[in-house]
Amino acid sequence: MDKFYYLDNAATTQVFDEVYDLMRNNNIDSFYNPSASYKLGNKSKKILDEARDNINQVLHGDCGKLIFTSSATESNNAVFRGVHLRAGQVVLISAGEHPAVYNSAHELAKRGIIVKDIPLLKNGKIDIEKLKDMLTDEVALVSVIHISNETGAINDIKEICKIVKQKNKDIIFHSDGVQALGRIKINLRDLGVDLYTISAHKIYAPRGIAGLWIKNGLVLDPMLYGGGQENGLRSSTENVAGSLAFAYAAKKLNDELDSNYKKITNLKKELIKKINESEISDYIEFNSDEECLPYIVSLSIPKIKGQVLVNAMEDDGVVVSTGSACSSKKAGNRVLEAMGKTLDETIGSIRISFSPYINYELDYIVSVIIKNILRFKKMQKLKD
Amino acid sequence: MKNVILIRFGEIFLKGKNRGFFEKVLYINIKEALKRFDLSVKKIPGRYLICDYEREFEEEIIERLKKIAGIFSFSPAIFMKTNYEEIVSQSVEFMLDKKGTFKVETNRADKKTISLNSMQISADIGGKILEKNSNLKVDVKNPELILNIDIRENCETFIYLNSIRGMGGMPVGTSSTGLLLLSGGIDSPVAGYMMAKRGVKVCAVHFHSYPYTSISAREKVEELAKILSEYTGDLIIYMVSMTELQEQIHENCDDSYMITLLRRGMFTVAEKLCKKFKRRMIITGESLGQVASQTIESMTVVSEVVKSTPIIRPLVAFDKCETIEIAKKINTFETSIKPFEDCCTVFLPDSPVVRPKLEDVLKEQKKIDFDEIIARSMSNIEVVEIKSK
Repeated sequence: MDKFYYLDNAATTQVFDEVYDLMRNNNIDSFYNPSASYKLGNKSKKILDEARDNINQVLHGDCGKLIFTSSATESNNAVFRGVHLRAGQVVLISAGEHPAVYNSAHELAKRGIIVKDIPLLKNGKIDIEKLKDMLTDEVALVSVIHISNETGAINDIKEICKIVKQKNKDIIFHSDGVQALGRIKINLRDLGVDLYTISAHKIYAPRGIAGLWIKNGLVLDPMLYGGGQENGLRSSTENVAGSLAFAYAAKKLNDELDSNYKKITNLKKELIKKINESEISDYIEFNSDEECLPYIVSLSIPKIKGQVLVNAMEDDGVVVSTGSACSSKKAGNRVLEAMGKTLDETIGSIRISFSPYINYELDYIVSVIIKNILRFKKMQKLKD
Repeated sequence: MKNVILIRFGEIFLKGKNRGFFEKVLYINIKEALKRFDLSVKKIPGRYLICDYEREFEEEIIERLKKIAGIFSFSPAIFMKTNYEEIVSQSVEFMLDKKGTFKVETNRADKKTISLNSMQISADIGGKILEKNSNLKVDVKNPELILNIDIRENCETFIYLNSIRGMGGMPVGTSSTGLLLLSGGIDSPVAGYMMAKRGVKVCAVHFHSYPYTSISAREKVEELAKILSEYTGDLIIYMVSMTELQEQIHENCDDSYMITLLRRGMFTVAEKLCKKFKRRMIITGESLGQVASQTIESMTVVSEVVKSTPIIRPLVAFDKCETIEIAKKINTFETSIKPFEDCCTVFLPDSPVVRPKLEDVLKEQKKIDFDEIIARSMSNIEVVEIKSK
C-alpha cells in the first residue's frame, strides 16, 4: 500500500475505534431523551451527567460546571454573546486567537463595545507587558488562547489571569483551550479562569460535541432558547452518545498524557534535526520554538506558497496544512503576521501537527518535504 | 379543463425533411430535463404539451423549460374541450385578478364548432371580462396583456396569456458533438452555452497545473459545469494536467513563450481527445485581441497544432461586456468571478510574446520533448461526470 501519514491533527483527529463502539452501544441501549420523565430517560440523564463530571475531573474544574455545546466555535461565540457587556466597555483578546474567538469578539464592535487585540511576541505568546498597559478601568472581558493552533505557542494562562484579576477581580477571563486538552495538564482551579473552551474532535472523539466550562457564580445569557437543557444556557436535546465519547477520550488522553508528550517531544526534535541537517535547512524558518507545544510545528519557506507545498506533499502521502484549516482559505496568516512574520513567510507557511497514536516514518516524511521544497525552489530560482 | 404548458418550437420549422429527427431529439431533451417532475409530455400538431403536473411545480417547470435549446416560446395555458360557454367563463376567471390594458386574440383552426368568427369571439369575451373586472382597460394597439384563445382541430381549445421566450436555437444533439476548453473564467462557459444553443452536444476539457493550482480552482470548474449542464444536459469533463509541460517550458524555454507553448500543448491534447472520444469540433471562449494569447498571430501559431478538427470560437467578435451579459443571463458569472488561489502565477511570464512567429515558436518547442510530455498528460486523464440538475 502507498505510504500515508496524517500530520494535521491540530485540525481534527481520527475517532478512536472504541469510541465508535461506545457511541453505537449508547445509541442502541440508551438512546432515550435525558429530559424524559420515565426511568429510561433518567438513565440517559445519568450517563450525560457522569460524562460531564468525568470531563470536569480531567479539567480539575470542580469550582465550575461544564456546559455541552456542539462545537468550540459555538462555545466561543457563547462567551462573547453571553457575557453581560455594555457599550463603551473594552474587551481584550490576543492577536493570536483562533477565528472562532477573533471574529466573534470583533462582532461586539457593532454593539458599541471596544475590542482590542493584545500584541504577540515573536515567539507567538502574548506580550504581557503590553497587556498590563491595556488593562484600563473599562476592560470587562479578556480572552487569551491557551495554546496557539497555528504555532503551538503556550500562553501562561495562570500568570496572565492573575495579572488581569489583580487589576480588577471583576474582569471576566476566558481561555480557548481547544489545543490544550489532552496535550498538557489542565487545572482550571489553579489557572483561575472564569470560562474555558474545549472540543472533542481534537482528542479522537467525534465532531458535534464540545464544551464551555463556566465558573460557579458567573451568569451568562443563554446561547439557545427552548426546553431549558444545560442549566437553561443551551436548549437542545442533549448529545448523550457524544458526551460519553468526549468523556472517554478526555480521560484516556489525560491518563496517557505524559508518555504521549515525551513521544511527541522526541518526534519534534528529530524532525527539526533532520530538516536542519538537510540541504533545505537554509530555506526554512521555524515559527514554533522549543517552548511551544511539541504537537504543532509551524514552518515557513519564504517565496514558496504553502498551498502548493501542501498539494504536492499530499500526492506523496504526507498530509499537512497551510496555517489552520479554519483560516487556510485566506491569503496570508493573521497570527503569523501578528508575530512579525513577513507576507512571504506567512504565505509560505505550513503546519505539521502530530498524533501520538500514529506511527510516523520521519525519514520518509522529511524526504517528501525536501523533495518538494527543492522542486519548487528550482522553479522559483529560474524565475528570479 | 386542465392546466398545461404549451411549447412552441424554434428553428425546427426551417428543417424541412429532417423535421421529424429534430422534433424527436427535442422531445427526448424535454423529457430528460423534466424527469424529476411527475408529468407527461404530449405531441400535438406543431406543439408539445406538458400535462398532468402538480400546479405547485409550475414555476420550477417554467424555469427549466427556459434552458432547453430548440424551444422558441411557451405558455402556461388552460386546455379544454371546445365549448363556448366554458371558454367564456374560463377567460373571465383567468383575467379576474389582472389589471392594466389588454386585448383578446382569437385563433380558429376549427371554424365549425362555434358559430361566431374570431373577431366576434374576441369582442364578446373582451366585453364579458370588462364587466367583471374594472381594473382592466381595452387597448387593441399596444396592450400590456394579450389573452389568447386558440381554438384548434379535434375540438380542443387553449386559453393563455402572453408567451414566455424560450432559449431558441436547436435541440442539443442535432448538431454533432464538441469539446469545450473550460477554464473557469467568464468566457468559456458562455462559449459552451452558445454552441449548445446551436444544437451541439458539448463535453469539456479542463487543464490544471496541480499542485500549483488548487483544489478550489477545480471545484469552481465543476460548479460552472454543473450550471452549464442545465443547458447542455449531462456533461463530461476531462481533467488534464499541464504541470509537467509548464515546468519543462519554465526550465528550458524562453519564458515569454510560456503561454504560446502551453496553449499549443492544450490544443494538441484537445484534438487527441476529440479523436479518441469522437468529438467533431473544439470550442473555445477566445475573443480576438482580448489578451496576448488571443491575437490573430497567437491564435494562428496555436491552431497550427490542430490538424483536422475545426476550432469554433463563438465569442471571437464579442466585447467583454457582451460576454458578461450572457454569463449573467445563464448564471455562470457569479461563479466565474469567484477568486480562487491561483498558484499558477509562478509561471506567468513578465512579458508574453504577443505576435509570435511560427518558426520562433517551433525553435522554442524543440527545446523540450513536447510529444512525450503530451503523451504523459494524455495517459493520466481524470474523467468527471456532471449530472444535469
